[in-house]
Amino acid sequence: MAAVELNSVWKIYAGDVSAVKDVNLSIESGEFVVLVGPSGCGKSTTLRMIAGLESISKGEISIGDRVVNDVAPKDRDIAMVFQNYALYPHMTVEKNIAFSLKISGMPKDEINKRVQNVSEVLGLHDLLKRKPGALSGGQRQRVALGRAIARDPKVFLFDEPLSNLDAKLRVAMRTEMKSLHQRLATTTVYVTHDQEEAMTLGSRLVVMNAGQIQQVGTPIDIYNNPTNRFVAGFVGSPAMNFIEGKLQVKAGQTRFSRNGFDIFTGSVSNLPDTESDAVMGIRPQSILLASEGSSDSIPAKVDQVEPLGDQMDIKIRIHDDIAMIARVPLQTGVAAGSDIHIAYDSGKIHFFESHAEGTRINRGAE
Amino acid sequence: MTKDTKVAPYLFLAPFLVLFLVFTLVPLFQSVPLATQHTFGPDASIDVGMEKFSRAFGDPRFWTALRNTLVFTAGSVLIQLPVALALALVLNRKHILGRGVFRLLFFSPQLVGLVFVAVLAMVMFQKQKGLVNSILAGGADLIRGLPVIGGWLPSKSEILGIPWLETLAMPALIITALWMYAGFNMIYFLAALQNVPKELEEAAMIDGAGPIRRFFAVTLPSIKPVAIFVVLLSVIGSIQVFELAYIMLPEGMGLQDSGLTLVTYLFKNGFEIGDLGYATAIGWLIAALLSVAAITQRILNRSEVRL
Repeated sequence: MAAVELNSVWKIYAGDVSAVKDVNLSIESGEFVVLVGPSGCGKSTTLRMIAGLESISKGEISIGDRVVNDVAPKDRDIAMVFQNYALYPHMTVEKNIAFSLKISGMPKDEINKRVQNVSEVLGLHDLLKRKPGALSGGQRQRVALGRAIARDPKVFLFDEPLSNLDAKLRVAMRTEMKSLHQRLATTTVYVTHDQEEAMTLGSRLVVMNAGQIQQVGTPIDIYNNPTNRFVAGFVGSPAMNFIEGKLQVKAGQTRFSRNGFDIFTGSVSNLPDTESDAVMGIRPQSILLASEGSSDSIPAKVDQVEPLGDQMDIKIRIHDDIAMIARVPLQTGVAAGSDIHIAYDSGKIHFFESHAEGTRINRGAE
Repeated sequence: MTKDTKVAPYLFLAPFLVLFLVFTLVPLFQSVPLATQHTFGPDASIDVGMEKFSRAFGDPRFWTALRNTLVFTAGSVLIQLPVALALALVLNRKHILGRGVFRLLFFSPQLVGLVFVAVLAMVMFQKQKGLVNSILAGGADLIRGLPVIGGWLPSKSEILGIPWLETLAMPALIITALWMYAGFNMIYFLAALQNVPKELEEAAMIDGAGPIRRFFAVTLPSIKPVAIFVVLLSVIGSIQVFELAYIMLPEGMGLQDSGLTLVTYLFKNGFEIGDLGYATAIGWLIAALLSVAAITQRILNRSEVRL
């Protein structure tokens, strides 16, 4: 186990293209940190710099108390699991797991013991003599995990390890990886583009976009208090609804309107007095169905209904031009084309500065 | 299926099939009896049974030709292919300046053709004024002043007189073939190397394998199917070597048969001496040799891995 420290780390490619910009991150020993973001956000490059597979253009990375900028990957005491497993195709499962141990000059008995151990933990016993070509995707991923675990490294690095698996298996493996981490308590850096995977796995998330860290925090904190519009839109499913309009705050009273129609009136904590263009964000889960005539309810039209079992996503329109998605209980029986009334959970309304990467205005709100 | 769609594939195949039938299959069948005959000109012949085959086994020139051919084949597989692979490995690196230029350069002998290369090689390997001997003599002059080695070196006139084409025919042929085909085989290896997943190398790198271990434990096994295929092609091509020797060497075979190959011997017997029966028998023996090579490849490829 070891802490990992990234200090103003940059990756600049030829032609002055920066893939990673000034990343600062402290990963504590034993922590499970997930780097999450859309493709091209620099998360994999960051991971590969920690692994030593990419050089560091500027800044410093240390593992434990050692700066590893110029340390070869094999000497960093890390293990990495790749998206496409990267198992050696001509070696049996057993040899795949033992490969690095053999290179390190470990005695045969010890190697055998470790391989047995790992195969027990991951249920690979019956597969040890097989070659990767004869395994299913899930089994291959398990072997790749085994290869990493057998080394007993200071840090695990995972580069989208579940992306090639089907949805059901992915969820199962997610659970397994989580319990594995609880048992081994090895420092883990995990890269994924799947925000749901990130939320369920990470003890802390690092949301990245365009080479920069947008926000670092626990999954719940990031979900409830997104620092800007990007994070708010990226984390959570279905994505947060954004409405552009005018924000007026006066003596604790908030009024948000668009084209002369009030979209929200009420009180939102942590809002300074202002009168400016802004974007209101509300998660589909925070839109409630209200009865007609109740205070603060807004009339809306249902365009489309997507049942999801006990819940459904409904696409609604208010004031004719504002489209939103709401997630409501199925038994409400809302049908496409019907007129309804909605209300907001006012504690869960976010306001952002009006540009695309707008910072959240009501910071600190719960 | 309508009648048209049944016939159509064969219509498209017809041009090839007709040519194959007339120029390959029919002669192939005709060559079976021909190998058991002694011919007198194109029209007259007598049946001699297996005599032509037994003659080959007792013919020292046949054995010389076989030995030379196998030496050439060994040179191709053991020298040329490792060189081709090494070139491919170097050119497969990301940050090589002028990668495309080098690729073209190594491949260029293929573009100008075998005859051109052979004629050029013949000039280069000439005694006295040939480029090869001149370079060797120049190199020798540079180190002549050194102790020990200096005294051991042959004189300038001796070096200029190295009879590559006359008595050192096999080394000359192997070097020329290296020049001609290394770049060509490099392309196969390069294509195979580019198909090796980058992550495999990276995984091995993290697992602690150095460059040499990575090559033998990861890269080589990954390109094994292509490597075996290239070896087979090379073996088949080498066993059939003819044009190169025929153009480069005096009489097409050097002095004292130093560069006599199986196909050259077949050609000499069949078309210069006129013993078509013997030439055909040699042809069948070459075919047998090729079959052994092909079967070996099939056996080796059975253990092929899936990526």
